[in-house]
Amino acid sequence: MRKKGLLEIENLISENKNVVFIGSDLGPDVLSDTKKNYPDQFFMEGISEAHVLGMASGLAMDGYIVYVNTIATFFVKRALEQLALDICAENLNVRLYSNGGGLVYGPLGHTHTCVDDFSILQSLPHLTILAPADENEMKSFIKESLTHQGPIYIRLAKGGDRVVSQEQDIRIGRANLYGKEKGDILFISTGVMLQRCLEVSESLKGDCDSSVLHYATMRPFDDRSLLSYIDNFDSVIVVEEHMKNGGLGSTVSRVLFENKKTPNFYKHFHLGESYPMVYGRQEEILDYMGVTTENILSVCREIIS
Amino acid sequence: MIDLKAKSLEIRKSIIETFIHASRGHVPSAFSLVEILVTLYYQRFEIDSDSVGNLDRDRIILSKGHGCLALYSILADKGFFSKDELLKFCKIDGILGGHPSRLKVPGVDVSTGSLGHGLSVGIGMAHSLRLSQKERKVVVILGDGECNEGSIWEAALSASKHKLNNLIVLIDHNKYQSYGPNTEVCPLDPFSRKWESFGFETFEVDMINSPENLLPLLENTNRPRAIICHTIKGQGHKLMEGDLSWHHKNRLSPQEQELLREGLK
Repeated sequence: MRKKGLLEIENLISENKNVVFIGSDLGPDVLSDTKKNYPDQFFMEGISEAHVLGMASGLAMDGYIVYVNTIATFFVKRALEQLALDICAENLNVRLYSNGGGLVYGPLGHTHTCVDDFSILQSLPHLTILAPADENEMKSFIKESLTHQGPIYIRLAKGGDRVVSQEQDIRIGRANLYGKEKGDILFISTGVMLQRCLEVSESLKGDCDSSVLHYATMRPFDDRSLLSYIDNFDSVIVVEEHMKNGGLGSTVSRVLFENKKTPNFYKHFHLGESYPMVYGRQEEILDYMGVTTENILSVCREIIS
Repeated sequence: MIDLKAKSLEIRKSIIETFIHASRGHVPSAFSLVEILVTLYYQRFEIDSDSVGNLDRDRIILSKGHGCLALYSILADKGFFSKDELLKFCKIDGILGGHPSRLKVPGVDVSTGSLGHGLSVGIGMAHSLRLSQKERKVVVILGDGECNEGSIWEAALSASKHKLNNLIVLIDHNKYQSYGPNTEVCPLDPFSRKWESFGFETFEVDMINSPENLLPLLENTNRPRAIICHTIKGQGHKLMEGDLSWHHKNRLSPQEQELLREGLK
């Protein structure tokens, strides 16, 4: 996913003189062709996230479309004020290509994981928040980002994520339904939890009818898709790689409550209310926090019985 | 060329009237800026209301946004907006807030207020001007207290790396910040050598006795330039010079209003 996205950014740079890239001390191989062939449009700054976002703001105010790449949690927390004031309040065309969303950097601990990004960023004005599940979604989003007006945060998964999305329907601001429009259980996912939800849904075949409504765009939230399917399912299960508050579960609850929708059963799988203070691979920490395929399946079996 | 002393007095009068009308504002921080801004707007750069929205223009970024009363008086004087707007400073139906917004105020190049932001944004604009091969300059005005912020020094490293010869940093070194003297709150010395060591071509100007010495320095050679402007907080006013109680006011007695009008030097 990360490589595919960077490839698409390289394409945009090669085709548009007003597209520039700023990295903050990334790995030595990042956009090496761009650095060589389009040196004016490539900046590699130091470990200075606040400065990098301010600089991106200055370029964007002059009409440049600026792709900034660093680790997600440093955008979200280290440089939050620059993001809020210099970019979001000004509604500028800066794209935050954010490595290591969720638990990707699990082995490095809670200083590097980013499980609170949706919560923190949802309050920033004008900001579009994307969490693609795989490289298909990433490719579509980067293409669309060229003409999209306003700032965009893109949460990256770890790369090599199983491709499950359907390429033809992917658009910023639209949820995608995987499965039938009616059934017993509706899973709601964002980011790479699409893969996990599809696995569960597949395992349930024969026992019950389930579908997955996938939100690769967390904001603006596609209320309409949720409302168009909600009456067709008995149960709703939200699965996200994010803390309990301020993410997908909170948003789904808001939409349901505002529209007087109460499923017969509702369950939210999340990462709790504190940073996971353990080390391990993304999947291991998800399992440790209880967001396991087995746990979701077990809840589904209870519903069926 | 416009008379620096006469225009500075005129701008200070306008600041006082705006302040009295609104009964709030950071006046001493604006007063220390006056000669700097008058030099930039009336002597060095041709900035008028026609330039709004035109990318081929010099940029002036007031990173110490709380000094905006001086900027507003100059922009009103130059016709960017009606002088009546000054009477609506910090009012619900006005465009002029306690910190300047480019989204509201014609002539404001960058929205500022939270300290430590303007230099990085200015660096972005300096890159933009360089990429589009426009022979324009970016001037960023910092407060000395603002130089406590780490982001200023992140930006300074970057400006130096890129040899931004179209970037001029002016520091309004009025020696005071909100709590007290810089020397007590967070000492900056050797201030000039700090900028020099970060790769800037550095100068110091006595803006109290020889403000005319700033103008010849507003050119660049082959690297970014930093000019430390020695000023007095509340400069040009008998009452405010050296009196921290005027840093920010939100209430003025009739007697204080008279003292303010009479105290201009």
